[in-house]
Amino acid sequence: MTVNRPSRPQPPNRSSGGGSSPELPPKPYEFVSFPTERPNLQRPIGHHKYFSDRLHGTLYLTLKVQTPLHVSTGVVVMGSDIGQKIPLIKTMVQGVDQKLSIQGSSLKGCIRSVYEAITNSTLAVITNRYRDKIPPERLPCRHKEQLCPASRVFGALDWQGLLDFNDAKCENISFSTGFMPSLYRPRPDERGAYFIRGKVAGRKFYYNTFKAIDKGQNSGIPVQQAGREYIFTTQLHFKNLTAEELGTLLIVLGQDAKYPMALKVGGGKPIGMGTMTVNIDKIHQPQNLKQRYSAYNLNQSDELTGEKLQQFIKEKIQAAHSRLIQKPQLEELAAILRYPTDREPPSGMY
Amino acid sequence: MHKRFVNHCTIDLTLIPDGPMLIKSGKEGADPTKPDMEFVETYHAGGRSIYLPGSSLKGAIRAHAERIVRTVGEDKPNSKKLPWANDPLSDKYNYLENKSAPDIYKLSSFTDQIFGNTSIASRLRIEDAYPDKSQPLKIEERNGVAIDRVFGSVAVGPFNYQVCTAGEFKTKIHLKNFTLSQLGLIGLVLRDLDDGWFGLGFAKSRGLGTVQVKLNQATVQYPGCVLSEDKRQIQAIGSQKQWNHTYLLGAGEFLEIHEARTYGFLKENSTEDRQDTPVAATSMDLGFGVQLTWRDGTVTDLFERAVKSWSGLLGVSR
Repeated sequence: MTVNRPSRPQPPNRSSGGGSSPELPPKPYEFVSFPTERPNLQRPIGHHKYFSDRLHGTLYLTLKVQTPLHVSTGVVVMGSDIGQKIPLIKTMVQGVDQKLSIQGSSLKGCIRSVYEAITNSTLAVITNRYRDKIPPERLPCRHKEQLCPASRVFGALDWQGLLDFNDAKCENISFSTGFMPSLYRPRPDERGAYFIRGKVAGRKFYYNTFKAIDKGQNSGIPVQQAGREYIFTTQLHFKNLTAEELGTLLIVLGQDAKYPMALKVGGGKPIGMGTMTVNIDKIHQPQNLKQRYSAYNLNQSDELTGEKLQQFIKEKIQAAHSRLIQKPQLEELAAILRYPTDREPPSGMY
Repeated sequence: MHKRFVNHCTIDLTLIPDGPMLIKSGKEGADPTKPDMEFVETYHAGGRSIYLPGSSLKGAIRAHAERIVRTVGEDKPNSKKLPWANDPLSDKYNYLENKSAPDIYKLSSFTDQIFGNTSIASRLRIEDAYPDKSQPLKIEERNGVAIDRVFGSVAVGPFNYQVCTAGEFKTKIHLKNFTLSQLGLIGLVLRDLDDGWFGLGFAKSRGLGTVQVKLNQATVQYPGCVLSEDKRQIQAIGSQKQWNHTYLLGAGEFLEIHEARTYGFLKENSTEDRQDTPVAATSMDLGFGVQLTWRDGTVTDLFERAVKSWSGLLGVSR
């Protein structure tokens, strides 16, 4: 007999469109408005050479799980397949060594969305149904000669980006099981907050909260997850970045002390899941490409750590603030993604 | 001069996926249980198996080689005699029209001299990389979905794709009539591939395609030479030329100096394309020809020496 079948959920009360109804808790998300100016479209720099006045190298990142994380494979398996007693469970990607991993594409999507929001960029993908509701200057970049700031760094249709993400691998061998309540699809047609004057209001981001809701075995959907304090490591290669582009990336990774943010990755965002803080362990950055390409054995002194690393990060963030960052959008976003936080996740149906 | 065969290098290497990788077949089969994007497959060793096509490998290697040359050299012919790499996709090659064979070689960019262009054949050949039967090949399916950032809902998808996450692919790179700086550049490209500076196949920017490169063995052969009686000298057949038995020799060394210069093998200010190595030459099979072999673990030594010639070309003294 199945013991953990969730009770059939009742759909949220549709008559409360607009979210103003007092009996419902506030929505766990907010919109980051679009900048008022049009995005500045430029020719991307390209991959054909390493420019001496640009930055190339690798960021070594440690991601620490703050609230349970579930990046779904989209596959539900029998619990016995992954050594669990429960009948069915939604799985995460596991590597050959059975360690959990976060797909590079998930990480990239999460980081790109924040980067887009705090620079004056277009949307990368849109739902065709709402095409006419999107301000024309925010439609995805179509011409590879004219790309918005985010597309120049992360890529666009027919154009490869300057960042290479890798799968993030878990250092812990085990995993935990969580029980998520039923979540519902977004309802833009019922809830007015998605639109302002007939156009979309901005980019949607979920708040970081200090804990996640776990429904318990009898009323939740079982998911394989990385529990609190789990550590993931990954590398992020970059080439031909300007100082302000790298600085913006570092702000997104929560390295600006004035805007402490955490990433929000994977499933269960409304109920507080998926908060991850980032630590930059070191940056590998060849000082001199001529040297790199005139000797076979590599110079170990190209690694930035400790004090030097902090100085480097500070400089790049400074450059980002003076040239690329949209301050109002950063302020709005930092209020949503702020971490540490004392915000509670919504307990009931929101 | 390329109707003669002066030297040949074979690099035997293994590519090991360092995470997932996918070289797309570009076709979607009729089988509805198969993913939207499949790995290329072929018949090999008595059954169907996935593989890394030589064309995919060569494309990636060429692109990175050109990137290196443009970074430390030039992207147009130049007076400083630095190596240059053209843009092979939009180059009309009118500077090669009605030229003699030596001039076509000499006027082609450094990377075209290795990889070929519309007027000269490639001197680099790479074999398809097939999975090593002794290592388990792991193929799995992954799912992806594009998220609409305004509504938080699915914009495109879900779509699924096949990836290879474990296994070993064995292949060989052959270089003929090479100069040492060309070999050095290939060494740097393989080093960067191992370092994760570029990937192979689909979705390089989001976690796919990085590999480890294991260099198994390298052989350098001089088919037109024999070893002297005391085995201390390499002697060219039909010419007075001879070299120490430990020498790594580039194409320019085997020609008379004026011929080498007409092809641009030797620069005006240098007269040699050779490096001393710790490897002693042995005879090739069938009684003539000489070869030097770098066994497992020492192949980097070959590249270190070849890169010395490459850096000499850049004007960096080491």
